[in-house]
Amino acid sequence: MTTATATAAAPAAEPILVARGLTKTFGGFTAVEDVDFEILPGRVTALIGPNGAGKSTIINLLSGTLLPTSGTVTLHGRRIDGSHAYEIARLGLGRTFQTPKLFAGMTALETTMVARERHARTGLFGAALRLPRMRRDEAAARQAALDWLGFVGLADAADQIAMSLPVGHQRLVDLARALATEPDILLLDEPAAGLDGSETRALVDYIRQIAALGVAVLLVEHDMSMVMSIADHIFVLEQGRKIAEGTPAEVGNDPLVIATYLGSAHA
Amino acid sequence: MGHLLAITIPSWSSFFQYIFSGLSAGCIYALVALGFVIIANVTGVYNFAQGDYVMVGGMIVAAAARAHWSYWLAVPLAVLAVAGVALFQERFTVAPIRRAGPLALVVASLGFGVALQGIALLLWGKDAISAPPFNPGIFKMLGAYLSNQVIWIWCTAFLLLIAIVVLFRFTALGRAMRACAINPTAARLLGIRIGRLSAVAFVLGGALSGLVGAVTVPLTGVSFNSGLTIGLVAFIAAALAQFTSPIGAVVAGLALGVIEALAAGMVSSEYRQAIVFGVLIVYLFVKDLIGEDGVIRRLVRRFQTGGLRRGTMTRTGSLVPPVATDATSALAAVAAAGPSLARRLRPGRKAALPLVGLLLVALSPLVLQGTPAALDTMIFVMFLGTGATGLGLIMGLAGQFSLGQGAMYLLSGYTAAILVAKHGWSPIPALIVAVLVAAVAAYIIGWLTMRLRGFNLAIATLAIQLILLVWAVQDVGLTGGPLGTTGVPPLKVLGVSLAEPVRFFYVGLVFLVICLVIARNVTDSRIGRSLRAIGSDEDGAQSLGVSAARNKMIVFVLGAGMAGVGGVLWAYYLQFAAPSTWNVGLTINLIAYVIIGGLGSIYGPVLGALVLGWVGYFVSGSSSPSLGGGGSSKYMIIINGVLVVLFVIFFRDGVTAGLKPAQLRAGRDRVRALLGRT
Repeated sequence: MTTATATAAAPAAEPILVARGLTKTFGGFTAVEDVDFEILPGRVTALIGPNGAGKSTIINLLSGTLLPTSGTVTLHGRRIDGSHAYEIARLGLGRTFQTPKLFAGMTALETTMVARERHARTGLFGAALRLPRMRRDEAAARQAALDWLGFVGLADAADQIAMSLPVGHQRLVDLARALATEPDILLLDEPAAGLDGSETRALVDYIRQIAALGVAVLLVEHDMSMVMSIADHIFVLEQGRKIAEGTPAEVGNDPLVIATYLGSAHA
Repeated sequence: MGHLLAITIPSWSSFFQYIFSGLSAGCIYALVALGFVIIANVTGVYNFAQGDYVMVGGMIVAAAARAHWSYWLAVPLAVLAVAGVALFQERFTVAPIRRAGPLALVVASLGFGVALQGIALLLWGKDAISAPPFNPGIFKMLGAYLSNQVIWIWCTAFLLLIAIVVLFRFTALGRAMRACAINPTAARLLGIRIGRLSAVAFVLGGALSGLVGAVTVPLTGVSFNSGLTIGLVAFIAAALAQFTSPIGAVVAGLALGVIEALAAGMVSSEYRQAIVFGVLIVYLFVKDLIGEDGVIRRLVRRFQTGGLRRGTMTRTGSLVPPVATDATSALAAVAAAGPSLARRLRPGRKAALPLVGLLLVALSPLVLQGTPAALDTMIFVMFLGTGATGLGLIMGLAGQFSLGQGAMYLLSGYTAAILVAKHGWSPIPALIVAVLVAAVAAYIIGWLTMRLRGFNLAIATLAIQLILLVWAVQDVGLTGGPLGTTGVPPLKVLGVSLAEPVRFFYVGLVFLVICLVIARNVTDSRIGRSLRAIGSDEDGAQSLGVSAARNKMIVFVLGAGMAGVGGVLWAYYLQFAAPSTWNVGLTINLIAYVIIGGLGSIYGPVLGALVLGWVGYFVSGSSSPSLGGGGSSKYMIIINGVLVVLFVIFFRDGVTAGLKPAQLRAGRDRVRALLGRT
């Protein structure tokens, strides 16, 4: 119980995730080139850049969906580059997807309960014989899943098939299940895409609350007003390289950034 | 194993003899493997009926030769006929379910192959037949004596290879097929008709295999089930070439032929195919060791990362959601207003119907007691039901295709029989050890193959069953050889005799119910939930910390253990273990039960076993349907094969779901669509 509040209270904490010299090439094309960054707990870090800048590639490299060509990623001081996506998830890295990857035929509750896998303590025997311990596990998983669905305002939709929900709610289920893994760092891949104004405002509010719990948030987003209002720290990526970083104010005044990205976006 | 396999160093002339005969067999494997690669590349289908094409081609030529037809007529006829069979297969069992996923396509092709075997058995009998060589006579080369037929085989193979290379490199059709293999969607957008190409690929693959069968039958002979091993070795060759390189498949096919011949000459002719399958196992093992995701790289990574352990939690606190704010409750109100239709669709646990069914089964001895054969049918449904339930979990829940469920029966059946008959163990400890043997074997097989994509598990498990069958026949000292392990005493537990059929039926029923309860619990548990998540979206599931390999492995081992229970009961009931009991036919039957009962249904496989068991009883009209495991009645083979194909195409959710009106309507629509199309 202590870490979450302690890290939130001390902004100069150790970085949770550190990437050094991160590079990814696809054949002859370099999608990400020699990128360094650190992500701090309790902060919202945003990754911005024009289409094709390599933002989603970075998310996929960090979460283990793609293997880096070179460079290292450390989580809690441990190398995670080259580990399986599920291993990284179990080490405390949660993520959402650009298009929510929900599970066919499962309710929102079941979908979120899948995320409690790393907290389960019973194996095959417990499951096969339905031991009391396993029932307690299931009850705990159900409660945690309901709590997180409640956090994103979907407690009443828990029994609905997740894929039949409106797109905005599907994104929230995706967020709830990522949170239900109880991550130390949460990667959000364009979470506001397809949301209307009020939904986006609610999302901003959730992200602030998540960061306040001490979770490091890495946000990839196109909606500049949202990024500027929520981010503590921003990285700007262009053609796979990091061209600027700093507070929203610093980045907003950087001439190079204005020329390559913000200029065109605000035009 | 009871005896050591010694290597004999051959003289040069015998050495060349082995090499040349190996090359002849290798030509068969190479061309059939080429057919696999063509069909798999263009259509994405791993065609398990491919080996049976060779059998059909050989049968037609052999039958024509017996009727004294000219080869100039018989061989082209065989090629055309097999091409026609392949076209039929493509149009009726591939085209209608192109979008149904790889498992459905593979199972349908397997069913089609089984139906071909059944028809061949009906038309041409169960004994091997042969044909005279095209030009009688032998010749001598490098000290080896060879039949003139070998020249025909080599020349045919060589010319076909050139023709295929020319087709793929230099013609528009070949370019279209390669494009289709690389990116079907893009190919479609460029105006290539996938359906037509798919048909062309099947006709080509069929013609190739038919010609191979026609040319080789004078040398090798042919029987209704000879396509199985040819298909399997060719599949291994294609797998060695990763299903992508035609040249690689040909080289691998030739190499496997030579390895088989050398193994036969220098080691043991009985174990020659086991040695070829061993090559596959070694390949899978090495690939697992050095591959992209192989053991070696993982160990290196683990070393670099300073010991990354699975499931290590580093955070000390837990994350608890904060209390909902105004914004969240506003959204909750929106969500609450949504339709509640989904709530009604939510699958509830309907235990009433299965319970009634179970009660009926439990009471069946009251009616059947008078007819021993009918009671036997029910008893065998119990043995088959456990393994079918396990296979249902493996296929339906974990989405894995295992062709080794029969091997698990064999392993545990023999283990229990040997322990009880030869070492005087009591039946319960022997049962536990035997089931554990099956589970451990499954763990090792799974460890070797699970991480690899495609149908390596199916191939590896089938190869292992064939190796075990050879071992059971050959290792006379341990297994009793072809006669089997005899001397298993009638079942008696704690002084209570249970061997009498009605009592044994209830023993079987108890174990079946245990398996069903476990299957239901696991399906409902977090393991089942995780596997359903993996089946729907593997990336999404992994992002939540779910390991696909681990969960699939759990279910594979569990399913094998259930087959193990069936095998032990089987051995106890018959009071012996014999190789013919647990052959490949049993594996095919179990797949038929799962498909017909309903993939993804817990009770479906048992229902499938019940339905097919009684169909078998009425068709063969006599004793137990499964004393031979499979192949008890020649009609049953066709019925199994045809039913599997029909269910995959029309009622993919099986009998259990077929009882629902919506499913019936969907099936009827699929029938109409198919009839409308043709």
